[in-house]
Amino acid sequence: MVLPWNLWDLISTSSNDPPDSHLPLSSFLLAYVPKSLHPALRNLLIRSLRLGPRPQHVAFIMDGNRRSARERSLPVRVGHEEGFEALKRVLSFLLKLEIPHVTVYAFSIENFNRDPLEVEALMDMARLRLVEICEKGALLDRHGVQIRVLGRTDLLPPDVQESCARAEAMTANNSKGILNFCCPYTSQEEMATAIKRTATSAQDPETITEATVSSNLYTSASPPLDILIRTSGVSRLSDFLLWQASEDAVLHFIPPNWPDIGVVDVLPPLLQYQAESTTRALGRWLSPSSWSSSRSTKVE
Amino acid sequence: MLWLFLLPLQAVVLVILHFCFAFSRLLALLRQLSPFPRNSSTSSPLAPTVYEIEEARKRWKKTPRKLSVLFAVGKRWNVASWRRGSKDKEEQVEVAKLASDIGRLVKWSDQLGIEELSLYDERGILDRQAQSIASSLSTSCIILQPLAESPAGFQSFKIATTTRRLAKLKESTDTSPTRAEVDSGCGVSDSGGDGAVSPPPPSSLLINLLSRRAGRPQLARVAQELAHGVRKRTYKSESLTTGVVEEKVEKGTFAEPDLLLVLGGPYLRLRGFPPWQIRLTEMYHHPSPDWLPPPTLAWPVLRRALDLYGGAQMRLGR
Repeated sequence: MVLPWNLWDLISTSSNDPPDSHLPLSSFLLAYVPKSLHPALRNLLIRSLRLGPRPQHVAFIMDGNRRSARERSLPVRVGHEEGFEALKRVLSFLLKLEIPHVTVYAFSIENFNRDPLEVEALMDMARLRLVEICEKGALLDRHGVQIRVLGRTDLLPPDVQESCARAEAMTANNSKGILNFCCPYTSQEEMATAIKRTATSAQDPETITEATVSSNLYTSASPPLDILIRTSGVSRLSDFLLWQASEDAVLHFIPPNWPDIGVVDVLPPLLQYQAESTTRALGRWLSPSSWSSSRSTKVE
Repeated sequence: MLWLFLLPLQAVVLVILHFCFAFSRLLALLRQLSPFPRNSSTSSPLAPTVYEIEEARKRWKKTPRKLSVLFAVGKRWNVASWRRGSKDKEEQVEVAKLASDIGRLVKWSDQLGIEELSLYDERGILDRQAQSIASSLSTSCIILQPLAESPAGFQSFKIATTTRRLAKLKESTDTSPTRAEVDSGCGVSDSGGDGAVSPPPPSSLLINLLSRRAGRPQLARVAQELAHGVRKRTYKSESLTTGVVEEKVEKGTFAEPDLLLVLGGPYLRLRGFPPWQIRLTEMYHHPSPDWLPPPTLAWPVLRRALDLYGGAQMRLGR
């Protein structure tokens, strides 16, 4: 029997996604629901969330790969590999929700100070796995998203630079969204570079404003940041998107380690965004003149 | 026709999710506003004793040397805001509240050995009303001595205070004021009664009053100055490195805070706080809905922030 397409879509896994690319519905409540029903629940959740407003730009500090491995007495390399799989799952979830811009903190300039074996393992992953998600039929291609590798890419080994350039070239024609892959990156370096570019390219210095500097940031092709999520319970930005996060973005510091992230962890920030957007829209509609939100209380 | 059935189902799911989310936030708010505090070890949330502060300090592996507080003044909730021409009155109420919070914060910071306080509000009230705040604090014997205005767009003050003396007076078991206490002013040595008491040395606490202009606009001003320099050939384009930019940005600016306490607002937002300085800053948010008055800076709130900082592990990329 051929079921109507939309019911089949609701109750089956997406036929194009590999089985391991789904964000787990990890929650103590869902432990009582048979795993065979999780794909249908996930699809229902995604379609339900798509009825409401969604953020345009979400960022992640993918913290806790090493801690997750150590907690299970596994090598750190395994933690990073699991972290990359978690990245694919999170991206898949967000792209299905049609959130077009995602920025991830993959590698800090400071991380070059780590154990050379660990750095080499991370470089290995960048060599091979970036291109993997950019290939025809893979995650980014299916959703029409281009990848941009941001930061001091000149500090990377030449073959990693070549892999990054190849990944960017493979997705250059995709126009539905951008994955900003920050590697190796620090925000102060980004701001300093933006200021330098602004100073050297400005025709008239008197016309330089915040917006001018903003347009010279690495993430300038993406809209303003809406949500920033850091895993592993650490509550600082660690030199990531300081300029972008310093205004209206909502910061969430959540307990699980990055490889253990699930739908239940990403859901509250999304619901918060929807609730606030809806409340603001209602407020503007009910009393447009006296509505005073945090966005409108700027003085300078 | 099946989509007609599925669409309402999806809508119901969405409504249920939002109901659960709103309910959990309501529970959290009720717990926070509960008249029965979770930790009842504090005798008074606005006036902890020296002993309570010292006991809390023993729990922490470290205390911040540089503390920042972001006062989320938020939208104008005061009834006066709805009346024309009452903007000044409303701001005076906010200034009084901020001065009261800052006065308590200065005393606690002195006790905790904090060296630098950077205080921020998104509407620029602290910056605009610095003199009013200083006058208000002087009535609590906290004398702010202005330093030369920083080129980085904010105002700094050193404290010439008798807070330690004030703390000693408040801790004294003799509650009846002596003639010396009644007669002496702030920072003046007592005479009579038990004899002359020399004032303690002034605090080394530095206070920075920040507004938006110390944040992104300041970085834009740096870009403007460098652009002028490039035009006048003070800098060659090739020699203008990120190192030169970093040096220019950091000149005269306030120190990177170890801990940022965001007081108020339903969610953690930085509301224009200077971005350059928060690279490694630990952040603690004390939430409060926008439709309530901004929360008061009470000792339990600061203590929870210091609990977070005191247990934090810094890895610095390693």
